[in-house]
Amino acid sequence: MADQASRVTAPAPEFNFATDRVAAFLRTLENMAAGQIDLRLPISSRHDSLDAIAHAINVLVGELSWAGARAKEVQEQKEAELRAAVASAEVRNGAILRAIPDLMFVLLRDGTYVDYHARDPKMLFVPPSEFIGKKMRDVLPPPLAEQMMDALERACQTDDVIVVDYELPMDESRAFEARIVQAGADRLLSIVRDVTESKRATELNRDLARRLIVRQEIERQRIARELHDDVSQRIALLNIEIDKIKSEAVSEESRARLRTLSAQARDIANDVHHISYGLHPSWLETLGLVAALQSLCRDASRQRNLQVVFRHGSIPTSLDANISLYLYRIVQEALHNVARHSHVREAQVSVTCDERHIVLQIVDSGVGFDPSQMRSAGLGLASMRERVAVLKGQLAINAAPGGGTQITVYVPLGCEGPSPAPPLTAST
Amino acid sequence: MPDTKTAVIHLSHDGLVVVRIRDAAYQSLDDAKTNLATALAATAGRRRPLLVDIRTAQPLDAEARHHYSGQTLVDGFMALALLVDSSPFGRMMGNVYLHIARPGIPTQLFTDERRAVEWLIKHRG
Repeated sequence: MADQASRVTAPAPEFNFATDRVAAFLRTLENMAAGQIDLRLPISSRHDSLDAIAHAINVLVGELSWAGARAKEVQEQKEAELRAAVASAEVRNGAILRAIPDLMFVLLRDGTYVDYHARDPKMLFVPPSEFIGKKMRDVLPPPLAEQMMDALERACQTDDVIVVDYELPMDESRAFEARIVQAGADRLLSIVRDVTESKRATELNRDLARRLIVRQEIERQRIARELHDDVSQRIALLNIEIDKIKSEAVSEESRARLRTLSAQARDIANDVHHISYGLHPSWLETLGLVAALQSLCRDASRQRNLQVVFRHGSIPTSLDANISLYLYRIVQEALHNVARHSHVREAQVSVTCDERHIVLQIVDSGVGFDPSQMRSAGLGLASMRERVAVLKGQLAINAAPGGGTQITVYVPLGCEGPSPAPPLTAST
Repeated sequence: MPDTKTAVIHLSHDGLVVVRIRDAAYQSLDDAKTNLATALAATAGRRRPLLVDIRTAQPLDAEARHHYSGQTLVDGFMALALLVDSSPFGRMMGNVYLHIARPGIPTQLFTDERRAVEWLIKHRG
């Protein structure tokens, strides 16, 4: 058994302390209690009970001081770490902000601007001094201010991003896209991007596509006319000549060979006629859209082994020839897609008219496709989309893998049709 | 025998590291660091029992007390015997170390050095 100090018979406590020692003890204790915590009670060389009491008190005070100092150290360390983290975040956020070309505005729900970021102040509609602390209604043109206030209110009601497209009269009219989100209890963040260049590029691209389509139609029409007016006429003359020679032929063998030759010439004439019609359906101009679509559906049924059901409503006969042509091309492309991709042999085509639109619809119950993958779709759909855009109409594609495809085109009745194609020069 | 300002330290023939605090020596935190480092050097790279004689020492400050009970003690030594004075003050000093500093190795207070050595030898294994 260890000889623990606590088990050693302790001498009887002595309380017969010198008055001056007790006085010094009590005086120091009072000073310590008054706040001089660095003081320590005196310890004599007697190592008696008074020294033990003094030591115990010294230890308690020392431990409290030590714990306080440690707590202060930990606190200071945490504060230093926090300051370093904040400084690091500020550096990082600063770098991000410098790299972002967008404008940023912090707004209150009532539309008051409270903060902003602009890499280039020239991008601002008005200088910061003219909008910080002010409301949108005092800064932006009235219609836009109302539009933005409505967007702020909607952003307050949802966690989604509210997107607003608008234009502002800067040094020139510029287009912007604002994305508004909640940023705390009563604040909103609006990130504004100047989309003028991208919008111009899109419009330029669309204009180029429109010109290409128009030029393509002109070229098709020219080739169709050449085939019809020249090649077909020459084949007809050739056939007349063959018939003439046949009537003058002496031997039966010669007449038989000339009959065969005449039949071949007629076949070629028919083929040329079909090619010519496919390149430019002259029925559109002579009989109108409905008759041309009927013919197209009939030909598709025959040539592509499809059963195409065509129905139509009352279509204005005064419809612009180019609108008819574009709608005809859309049906032509859609039926081509049905024959090639749908894996079914049936389709329905309809053209109707309501008070404001011509509505064209092509439906099949085939394998369909995923519209989200349309970026990788071929030129056919892109061509349809461009033609509809030229007509200022809308194209709706309702499709799903295994669920068939429904293409609906709305073209406004007041549409004037595409303007003649300007020349395609190197600069365009 | 490595000596420091406040202690005499040696490795005994029993394989114990013995630290004797000098008479009435006051140990600052630096003294505590020096003494513990010197005691550690005396182990010659093996964990050993440690005998510390504080019978005539002055009380420790909190910093020194906490240093004496830190990781260095645990890493270098397997048991600690504190040799204290049998007076109320001596027992108070020992118990303060035992209960406040809470060293991380087996620790016992003794007033008899022979018994302290016996107890440490048992821990030597």
